[in-house]
Amino acid sequence: MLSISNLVVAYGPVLAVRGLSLEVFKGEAVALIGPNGAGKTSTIMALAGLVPARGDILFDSAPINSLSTEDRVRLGIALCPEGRRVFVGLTVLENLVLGAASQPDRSRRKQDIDYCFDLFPRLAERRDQVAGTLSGGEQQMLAIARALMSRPRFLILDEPSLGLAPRIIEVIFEHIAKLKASGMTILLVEQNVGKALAIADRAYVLASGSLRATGKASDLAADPETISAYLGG
Amino acid sequence: MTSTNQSRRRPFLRRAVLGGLMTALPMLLVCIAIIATGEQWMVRLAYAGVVAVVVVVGLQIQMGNSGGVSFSHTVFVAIGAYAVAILSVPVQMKKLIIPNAPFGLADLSLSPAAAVLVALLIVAVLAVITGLVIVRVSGIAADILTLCLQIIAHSVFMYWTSLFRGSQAFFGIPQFMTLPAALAVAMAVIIGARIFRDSPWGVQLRASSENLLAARCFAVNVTRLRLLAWILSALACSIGGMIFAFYIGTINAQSFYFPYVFLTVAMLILGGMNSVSGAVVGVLIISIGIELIRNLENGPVLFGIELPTLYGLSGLALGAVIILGMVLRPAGIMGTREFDDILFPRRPETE
Amino acid sequence: MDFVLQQILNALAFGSEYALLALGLAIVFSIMGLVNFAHGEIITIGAYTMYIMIVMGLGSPLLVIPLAVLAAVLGALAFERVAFRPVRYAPTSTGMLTAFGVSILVQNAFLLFISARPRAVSVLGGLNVTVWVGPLRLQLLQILELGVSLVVTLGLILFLTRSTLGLAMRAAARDFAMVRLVGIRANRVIATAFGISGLLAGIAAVFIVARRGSIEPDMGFMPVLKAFVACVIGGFGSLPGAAVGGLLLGFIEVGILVLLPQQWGGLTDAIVFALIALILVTRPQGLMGRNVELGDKER
Repeated sequence: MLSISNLVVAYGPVLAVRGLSLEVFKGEAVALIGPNGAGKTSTIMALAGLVPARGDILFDSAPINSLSTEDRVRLGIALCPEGRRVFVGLTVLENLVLGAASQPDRSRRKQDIDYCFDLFPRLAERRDQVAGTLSGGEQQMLAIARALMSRPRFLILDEPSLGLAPRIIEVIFEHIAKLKASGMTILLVEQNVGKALAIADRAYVLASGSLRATGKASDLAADPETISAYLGG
Repeated sequence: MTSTNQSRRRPFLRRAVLGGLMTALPMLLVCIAIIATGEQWMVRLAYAGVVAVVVVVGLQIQMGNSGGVSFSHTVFVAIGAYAVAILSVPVQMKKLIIPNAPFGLADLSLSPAAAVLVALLIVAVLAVITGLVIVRVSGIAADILTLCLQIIAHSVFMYWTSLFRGSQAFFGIPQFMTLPAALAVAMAVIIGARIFRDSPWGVQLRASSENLLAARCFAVNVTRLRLLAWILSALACSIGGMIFAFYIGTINAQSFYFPYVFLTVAMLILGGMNSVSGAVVGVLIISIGIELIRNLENGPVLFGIELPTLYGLSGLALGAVIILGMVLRPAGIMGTREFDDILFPRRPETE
Repeated sequence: MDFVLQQILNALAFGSEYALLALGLAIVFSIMGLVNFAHGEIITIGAYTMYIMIVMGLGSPLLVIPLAVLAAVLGALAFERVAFRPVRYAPTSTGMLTAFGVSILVQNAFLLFISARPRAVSVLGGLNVTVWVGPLRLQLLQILELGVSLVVTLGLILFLTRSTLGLAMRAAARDFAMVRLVGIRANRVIATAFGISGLLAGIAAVFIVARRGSIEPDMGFMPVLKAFVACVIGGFGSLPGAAVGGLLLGFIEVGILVLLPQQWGGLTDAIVFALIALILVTRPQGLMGRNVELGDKER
């Protein structure tokens, strides 16, 4: 479904990603793991078209390099970014409405909102509350729900566990597992290696902008050498 | 012996002075060429350009180091010009133009040198007072405060007719300045601006305008540095006003108001507000460009055909140049570089 | 008593004109951080459209007013497309100077192609009549100005709270990249912001021309300077702040005009702007702005 080859992301003279190749197949959950500064978020930003990048990005076998961020979203790629970035001044419901902005068919919006509220009952309770006043976990739920509102075929989750209490992380990962079970293709970027490998089918290990290891998630999780060498844990 | 000690203690000083000379070079060359032609009208235009260099470099001290836009620098140009005018006009002339001047100024006439010293003192005092207010706030609120200052000062110039003659011209100022003398003044101001820019104070101030929080974490006293930049900028701008008054002999508050503000701000941002060389480049390009087009406005004869007069053409072109300049080079022509940075790139300091 | 009420209406009329212009400035600033000094030229474009139509013999107010407003909207959209889009991600000073450039260009175009001198536009002179409302003698123009501004502001509030695009604009003021990440086109959001600012400036232009009865190339400068100040008093980038700042500026101006002794008349501007400076020094974030400390997290 998604195929990246030789991706290079540079900020001035600094190379953040040095020739990364990566593939995600339909229905799969793939984890992209690595320590701080490994180039994970730069990869995601390049995927979304928010930073300039070299290399080929194919989505459904068609190149999307030259497409704007907006058009990539319209193709069915949704990004739930690091730090959640919910629209703090708007209510939960308004956040979801904006999430559906790329959907031309208005009639399905109501149905999609109901689906999100079914998935995250906490959000239903707080539908008219301003998003800036939600707790971190609730904001993360809202960010995921907002991404789902565009009816994506491919969902990118960037650090969904960041800054959350362990108990809340459990809840968020349960939701991600549910999404995977429903057939969603997911690219999960995480520093929480244990959690990420437990949920993913395959994983890529990134360090200093280059690919260091890849394979089945269960194999990587069972290989303490890889884990300690690149992830320091 | 002392000089090596000096330069060891202040390694930036040598670079700033030599670099400042290089920064002034384009202005010098253009002016020498013009003096060589011996055309009086061109010398007059060149003089206006040198005044603009002093004012825009003065503006650069403020905008380039503290960040933000200033709309009030021409207030100090005006104060400088009016102060030397009021202090140095001969007494019998004052009976004619400002007979009712307050504080006994109608019966006072100083030598130009003394007038300049007193004027600098007045400007410094006013700059400290206004600066203490301005540095209390930052960002866009500070920009607007300078706008308020410009309007308040202009109203006072217009209203206080017994001292400033309101909307009437103030004339009779001794005219002793020459283009070479003005060039020397402009070079001194350029070198001064370079020294401030490269000094630890300037570096700290520029860093703080990029990231105020980080600067505070390093215990940089941003407020005091901004006040210093404000005062130095005011002094430099007022010097521009003084050399203008002593050459032209006649000044008018209207000519220091918004059109002049916008023109000088445009010169600086087009050249690149983060470098002194940018200030010089901006003045040169816009001054020369406007003069060339102004010839067209007066209905020139081209290939034997007399073109009609086209008032507004120079403004039209100025606007177009600014838009194009910003689209093609958003950080200004020079960006953050000085001429000497291009010729002799700075090595990263290792000690 | 009548005098007081008349002066209050006077202040409200001036204030709502400033508010219309300030809202236009604030909506563009909040979304793309652009201090649009060329906003005044949108007024000028609206005003000159009226003049050109009258010269062409199409002087009916019913035709002149909508077309002037339309021209202002188109002018604002054209500014965005030609001049501001290329500097969209550049520093604030770059955008501000680009706006100066647009302003200088447009003013001189009118100077070059029409005239440097003021030209009379009397088609809306009919609005400068006094009407009796009960025992009160009021200016029809002022009542209209206040009424239209209220309706337009309500419309704007509805747009910003009810429509998807309106929500997107409010969201974009805080996090533009995220708005693009939900698939909303950046160009559409920004063009809408400019369109709205043009609409508001066009409406203001109609009232400004009706009051002045004439047009000239730099007529947009003072109104926009005041609108700019209104924005800052209210808290730059805040839409409620712009509206409140505009009204407050109207009251300050009329108040000073009424209270100031005749012989000090020349100092009106000085006192108005000294008051504004005082407000700014005591509340730099503006009256409606949030007090943000450095390093604060967005809430």
